[in-house]
Amino acid sequence: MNLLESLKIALRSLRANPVRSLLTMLGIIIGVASVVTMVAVGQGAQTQVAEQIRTLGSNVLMVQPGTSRQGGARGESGSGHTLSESDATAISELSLVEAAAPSIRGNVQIVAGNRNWNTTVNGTTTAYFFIREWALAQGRYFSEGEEASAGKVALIGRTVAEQLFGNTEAIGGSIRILQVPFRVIGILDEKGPSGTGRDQDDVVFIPISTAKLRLIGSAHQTNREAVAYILAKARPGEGTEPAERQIADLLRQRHRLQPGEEDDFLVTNPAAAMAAERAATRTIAWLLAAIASVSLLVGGISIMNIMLVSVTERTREIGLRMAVGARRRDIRNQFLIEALCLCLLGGLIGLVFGVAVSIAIARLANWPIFLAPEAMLAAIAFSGAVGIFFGYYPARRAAALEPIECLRSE
Amino acid sequence: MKLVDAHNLTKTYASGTGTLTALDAVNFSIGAGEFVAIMGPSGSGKTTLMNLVGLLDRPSGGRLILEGEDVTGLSPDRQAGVRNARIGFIFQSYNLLPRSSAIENVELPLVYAGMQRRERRELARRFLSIIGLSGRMDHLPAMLSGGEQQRVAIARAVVNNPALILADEPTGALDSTTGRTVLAIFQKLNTLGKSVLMVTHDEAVARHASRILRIQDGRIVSDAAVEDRIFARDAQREAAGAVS
Repeated sequence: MNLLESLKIALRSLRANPVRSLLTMLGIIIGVASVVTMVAVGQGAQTQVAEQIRTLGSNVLMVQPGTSRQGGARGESGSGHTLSESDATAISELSLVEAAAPSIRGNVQIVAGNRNWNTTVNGTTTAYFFIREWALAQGRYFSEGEEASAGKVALIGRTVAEQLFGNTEAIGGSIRILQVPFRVIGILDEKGPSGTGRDQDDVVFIPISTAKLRLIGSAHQTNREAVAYILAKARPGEGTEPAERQIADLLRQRHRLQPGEEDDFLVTNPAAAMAAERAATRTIAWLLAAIASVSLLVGGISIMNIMLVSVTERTREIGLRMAVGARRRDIRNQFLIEALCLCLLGGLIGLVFGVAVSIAIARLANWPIFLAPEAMLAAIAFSGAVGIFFGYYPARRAAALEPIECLRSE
Repeated sequence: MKLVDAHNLTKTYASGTGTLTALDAVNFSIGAGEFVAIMGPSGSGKTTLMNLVGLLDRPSGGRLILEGEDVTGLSPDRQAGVRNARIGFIFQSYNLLPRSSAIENVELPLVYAGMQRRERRELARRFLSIIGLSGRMDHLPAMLSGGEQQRVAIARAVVNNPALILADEPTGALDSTTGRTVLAIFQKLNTLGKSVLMVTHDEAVARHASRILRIQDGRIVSDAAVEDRIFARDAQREAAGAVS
C-alpha cells in the first residue's frame, strides 16, 4: 500500500471524528504555538539588544562623576561635579584609549521659525561621534576653529530635523537655543531607540566650548570646568577591562585620592551591561521553551492515548484489512501515518496561532519580535517527531493483532 | 493436485479446566471447481475449520496444503499475501468498511496487492456492474440494503481473481429471496471455475452446493455429494412463474 493511500485513509478517519481529533491535537497546538511565540519574542529581544549594542558603538566606556555628598547624605549617581574637561583630555592620552570626549547636557526648548521642540542639547567634541561611530546623513562635523572659538553651530538628530524642519532643507537653517541663534551644519544618521527605549535621534549637539559659554554655564556656577560625563573608546584588543583600570588609576591620581578612599567617579561598560541583560532574557526564554516542551510531551501522550482508543475501536476494520491481504507493516504504517497527520496538523494550527499571537504581542505590547523560518520549520518537524514517537506504540499494537481475534471482536 | 488438502487439522483452546478441542485431526480435501458446504450445529467447529482454511487462524496441529504448497508455517506477512491473491472472504455481517464507498470497498484487496489506482478502479467498476450495482458505486455501505452490501462483499472477494472463495453463513443476515440471489451468484461463480467453501447451518442453503461436509464435535461425520441439488436460478424462475 502506498503512502498516498495511507494518507487518504488517515485523513478520512480524522474527519470522521472532527471534535475528537481537534481535542487530541490541542496539546500539540498549544505546545507549538507557545514555542513559536517564545522563540519569536526571545529572538526579537535578542536582535533588539544586539542592535542597541551596535548603535552604542564598540568598546565604548562611560565615565561618570561619583555621588555628591552634602553632609551625610549621598546624592544620586552622577550628581557630583568631579569630572572636568582636562580629565577627558588626560584620558584621551592614555595608551589603551583611542579617544575620549567630554559631554555636558541639558533639556531645553529649541525654536526654528514658527516651530519649537523640547530636546536634549549635548555639548561635546567631534571625538564623540568617532567614539559612538555615528555617521552623518548630511553636512559636516564641527571644525577645529568652531570648537576652539565657541562657534554657534549645531548638529541635529533625525527626530529633531523632522520636528523642526519637516520636509524643508535643514542644513544652513537657523535654530534658537535659549534665544541664541545657531546654524545647523549637519544631520546625524538615524540610531533608533536606546537600550532604555530613549529616542537617540532626539538630540542636538553643539561644541562643548559653546555650551559652557552660552547655555550651561549659568547652571554650574560652582565649577565651570565640570562635565556631565566622559565617553571613551578603548583600543580594540583583549576586552575593555585593562582600559577601565587605566582610566580609574589615572583619575584617582588626578583627583588626589588617598589609598582606601572611595572613587569619586564611575567607569562602566554599557555594552557589557546590555549583554548581561540579554543573557538573562535568554535564560527566561529557555525556561519558557522548556515549559512549552512539556506541553508538547503531554500533547504527544494524548495522541498516544487516542490512537490506542482508535485501534480498539477499529479492531474489526483491522481484521478485515488483514483478511483481504494487509501485511503487518501496512497496518502499522496506517496508524503511524494517522498519528503523524494528527501531530502535523496540530503543529500547523499551532504555528498559525503562534505567529498570530506573536504579531499581536508586537502590535499591542510593542515588543520586538523576530519570526525565524528555521524555528517554524523546527517546530513542525518536532511535532512530526512527536507523532512518530507516540504513534509508534499504538501502531505496533494494531499490527501485532491476530486477524481472527480482530474479526471476532464486536 | 487438490486445491485444499487438510491433514490431521487440529485446533485446541486453553480453557479454565483444561483444553477444549474445537477441531480434532480433521482430514479432507477440496478439488478445483467444487462447491462445498460445511454443515453442523453451532459449536461443532465448522467456523473454526473455515478460519483455518482461510489462514485467519493458526492450527494447533496438522498441516494445510493450498495448491500443493504447505502454508501452515508461513510468516504472517506471507500468509497475508496468500489471503490477498488466492482466497476471497465473504462474511455473514458483510464486514464492509463503513466510511468507504462501495467501489473503494471492492478495491481494497487490489490496494494491498499494489495495483495502480486507475487500473484497480477500472477493475472494481467492472465487477460492481457484473454484480448489478453500477448505479451504487459511490454509496456508503449504510446507504445500501443488506443484499446490496453482501453483493459488494462478493465483488470484493472475487476482484483479485482468487481460486478459493470462503463464505461464512453468507445468507444468515438476508431474507430468503435475497439469500437465493446470493446463492445464485455463488453457483454462477462456481460454473466459472471458482471453488467455493460455504459454512451454513441451513439444510436448504447447503443443498445449493455440490457436496456437503457434516461436522459434529470437531470431527467430520459425513462427506457426500448432493443428490437433489437446488439450482437457485431455476428456483427463482419457478417462484416467479408461480406468482404470475
